[in-house]
Amino acid sequence: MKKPARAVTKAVWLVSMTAVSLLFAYPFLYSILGSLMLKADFGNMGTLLPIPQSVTFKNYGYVFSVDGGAAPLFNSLQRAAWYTLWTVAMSILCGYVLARYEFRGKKFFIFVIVAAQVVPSVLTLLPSYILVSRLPFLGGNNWMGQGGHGLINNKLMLFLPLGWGSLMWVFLFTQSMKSFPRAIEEAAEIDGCGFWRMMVRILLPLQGPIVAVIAINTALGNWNDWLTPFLYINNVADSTLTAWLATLTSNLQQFGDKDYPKVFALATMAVIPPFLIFLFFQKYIIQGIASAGVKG
Amino acid sequence: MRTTRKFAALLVAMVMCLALVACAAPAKTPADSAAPTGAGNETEAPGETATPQASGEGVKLSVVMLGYNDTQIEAAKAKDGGPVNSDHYYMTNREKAEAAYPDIAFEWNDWGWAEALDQKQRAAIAANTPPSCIAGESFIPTYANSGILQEVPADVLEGIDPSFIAYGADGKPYAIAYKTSIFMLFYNKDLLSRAGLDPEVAPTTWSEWQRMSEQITAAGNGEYWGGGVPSFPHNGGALRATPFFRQLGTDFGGNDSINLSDPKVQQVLDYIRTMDKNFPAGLGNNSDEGPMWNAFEKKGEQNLAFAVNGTWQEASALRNGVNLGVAPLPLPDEGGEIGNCLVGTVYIGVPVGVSPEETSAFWDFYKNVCLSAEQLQYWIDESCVVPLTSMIEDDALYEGEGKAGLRVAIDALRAGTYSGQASFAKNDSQVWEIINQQVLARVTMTQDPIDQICQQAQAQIEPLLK
Amino acid sequence: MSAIAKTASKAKRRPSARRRREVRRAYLVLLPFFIYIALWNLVPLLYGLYLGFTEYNALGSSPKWVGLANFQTFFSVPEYGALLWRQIWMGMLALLCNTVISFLLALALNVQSRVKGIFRTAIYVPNVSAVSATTAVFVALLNPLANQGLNKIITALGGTAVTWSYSQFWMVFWIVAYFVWQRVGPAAIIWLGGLQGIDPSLYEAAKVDGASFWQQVRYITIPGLKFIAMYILLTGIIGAMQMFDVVMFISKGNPFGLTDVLMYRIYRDGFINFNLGMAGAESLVLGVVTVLFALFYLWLQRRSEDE
Repeated sequence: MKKPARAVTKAVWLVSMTAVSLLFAYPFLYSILGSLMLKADFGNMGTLLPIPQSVTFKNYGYVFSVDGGAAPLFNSLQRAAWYTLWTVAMSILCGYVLARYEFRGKKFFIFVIVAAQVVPSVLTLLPSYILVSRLPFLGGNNWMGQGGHGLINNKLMLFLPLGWGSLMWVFLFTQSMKSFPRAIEEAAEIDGCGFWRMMVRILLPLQGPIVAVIAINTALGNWNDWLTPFLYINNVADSTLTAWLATLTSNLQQFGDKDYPKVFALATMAVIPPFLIFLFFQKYIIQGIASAGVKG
Repeated sequence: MRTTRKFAALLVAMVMCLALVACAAPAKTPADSAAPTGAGNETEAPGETATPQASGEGVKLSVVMLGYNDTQIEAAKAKDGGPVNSDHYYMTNREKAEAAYPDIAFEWNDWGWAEALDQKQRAAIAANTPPSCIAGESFIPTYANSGILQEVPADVLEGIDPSFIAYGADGKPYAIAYKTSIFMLFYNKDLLSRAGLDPEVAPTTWSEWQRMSEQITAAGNGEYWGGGVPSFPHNGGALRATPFFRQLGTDFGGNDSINLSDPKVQQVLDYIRTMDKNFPAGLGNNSDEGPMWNAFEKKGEQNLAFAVNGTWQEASALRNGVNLGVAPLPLPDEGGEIGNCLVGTVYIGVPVGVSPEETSAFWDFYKNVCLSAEQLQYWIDESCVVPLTSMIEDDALYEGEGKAGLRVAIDALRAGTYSGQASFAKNDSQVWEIINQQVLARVTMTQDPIDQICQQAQAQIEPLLK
Repeated sequence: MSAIAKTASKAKRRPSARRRREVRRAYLVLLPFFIYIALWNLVPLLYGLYLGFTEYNALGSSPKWVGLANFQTFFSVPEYGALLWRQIWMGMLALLCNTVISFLLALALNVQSRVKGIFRTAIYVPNVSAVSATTAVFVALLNPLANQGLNKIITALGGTAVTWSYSQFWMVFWIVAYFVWQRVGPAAIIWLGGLQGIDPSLYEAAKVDGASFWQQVRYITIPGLKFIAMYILLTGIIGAMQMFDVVMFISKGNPFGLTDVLMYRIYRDGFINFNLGMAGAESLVLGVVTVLFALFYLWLQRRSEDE
């Protein structure tokens, strides 16, 4: 009596979860299938998914062509890599110092980190833009910051960390040091290990999991951050893939030529790297979410 | 000590890294010319940087609108039946310019049209990196009055019809258009016949048009439709409504006044609402105009009987094999006068901040290439009106097949009666956004009382004009 | 004797020398980093405070002080209040739906199964994909014409086509649906962590008492997760109050501005119309309201902890 009931429950669970998963995967399937069509064929089908009559890889040729997506794709990769490096380095350095050293003002630094989490970014969105355009001596500006365009439309804006997002990871690293045995550091110090060596040789490998959490989440966050390049850089060659997609997507609802399959091909390309990272490192991503949750 | 030094070294390394990127970005080396040229973006034609600079000082012109980039050329060539006249204009502009000015490095930018173009240009000007020229239609008066355009030199203005010159509030000329057009009523004779109407008789009054359109929609029964006045939630909507307002001697307003409380305005809006029932749902007020023009002219669709569009519609509809009729816009049943609005005007001006050499090089190129009779002929063939006085006066250009609409337009232009869309002294784009979205589109999307719609919009716009 | 004294004094000095080094190192590491962050954030914060009181079109001119004029406009034009209110209710609606649906998904995933990982992946992947890369599909599907996108499927199945672009309800529905689709993953994972943290013996005891599944949820699970719910809502508020990307890509604020939100207005005033003074004033209002909301939730959380 009880056993069949459990089997039924299990079957219902399987079927409904499969349905939910398909629902979640539907937009991806749609855009992958759509990207394999020609512009003229798209939109004429009355099926649940855009099934291509004849498969074409022309749109992917565009994604990797010099005139198409090659430069933004490369910029996206560069940007994600640079931010990962910067954030990991800053988190380890600042996080370690805050966790282990005693000094005046430590509480203040921690307060700043926590308080920054409550400040909405809308308050700095516009002023940052104006200040970037008024940086003295750059982009034709004089010492007063007048006359030129500062770093607007400059590729450097892809790599200049503007927000306080990295502060959260500093805090996370500080927290993780609490469960890190001091004995290891002391032993290393007795062996004559200096500060920098300790960072690179001891903390980086032994704190591997938390470093991975920081690195992977930063890489994903920056790959998917379309807004900064979208606002600061006008030229596709100096921009990123997701920022370019933002332009293309918002043009879909305006007058002009629309090439959905091409947009889908670029979008698919923009989703593949994060998807692969998720597949291989989901443990760390989920751990990052969980540890952030515990922190709160 | 060691810590300090190492930290300093790290900092220096980081700064140098960033500095390298910063310096590398603006100075594009040939190796870096992985410059993608997607839709709506800057481009650099390959090989241009290798131009020998015989004169010693190479001027670089960054041109908006007037010439195609490689991607656009490719797209034009890929069209069914090859490039059309307008494509040829932009393609040959580029060819001729590059042949005639070997010392100038040209950059051909595709920045889109309407709101997208406005946004790109404002961003470039605000960032103090203006292109050598800027283009536009309804927002050019705003540019002129904001002091961001240079005055057009007198010699460039020679031989240009005054209707094609954009003047600022100070009365000075700031931009010249290379083409324009006015609104007409186009109709598909086949669809009129199918609905049992005489295909040779065009509607002349609002009520006649309404009756005919309703009859076609009823006969079509979901297969084809009569069509009405578009109410797009962007400037394409306001532009097409304007001639109907002007028929009643009114308008949306202009400068520092907004005129939505005028009963005549509300009368037109009521007509727009009535006529919208002759569109399939979601077509007349679509955020994208494309589906409507496809419904009128695209092979395989052609299921819309009437279209309100600029004269250029004639050339492209005939190209697509529409059995086309052309007529002036229908007039109000009583108390109406002929009123219209220039549309598809592309003004070209030079922004402040462009160097004198660049400015004179640009005007030279614009005058001698883009405004040459030979190049402008492409626009005549595309049923548009062009600015050269000599061409406007040449009757031979407007005779023959497929010139019916153009003939009406040129007569109007010779009489000098038409002007462009109104513009507002302050917050121009925000005011138009409210008119397009919250008046025009709302009139056709809902059944809210029109006086209430107008009242609410009026209350919102008034503080923006103060 | 002297040797002992020497070692003693050395022992005394050593920690202090070490401490001094540590303090110096700490400042060396923290100060440049924090000064850099402050430069890019504190200066814009202060500048933003000033910007709201100016008129500035960025076209070569400098900001002109106009006092409270921008705020007067904000509070005299009814549209701005409507935009703020819509930002709040649309944001909160999206957040609430996300919290509830993620909880249900977490309940469904809180089982022993070999295929659980696949389902978790399917639910989480939208979150690691960029908003700009996934909204094009929704735009294609929501074409208002009867013979396009989703409508074509609906009519093929015998339904009546929906003119999506006419309806505030449907546009809000799709915005919220996208929001949930995109953000449900992390919230579900947090819930799941909480669910697994509840003492299993409580459930055993409840089963012995004959409590049904839903009774267990009601009396054991939900009370055990109050803290987690607070966390999800608190971290969601700041994001929801600044949501505009979904609106910009999916509805563009249409139909006739009924899904327009204040953050989208700020973006347009700032980066499209270059009406920077007004945009600055709008930013200040939205920023202050957001901080107030966040503080209110913090206060609620404090109070519930004290109880």
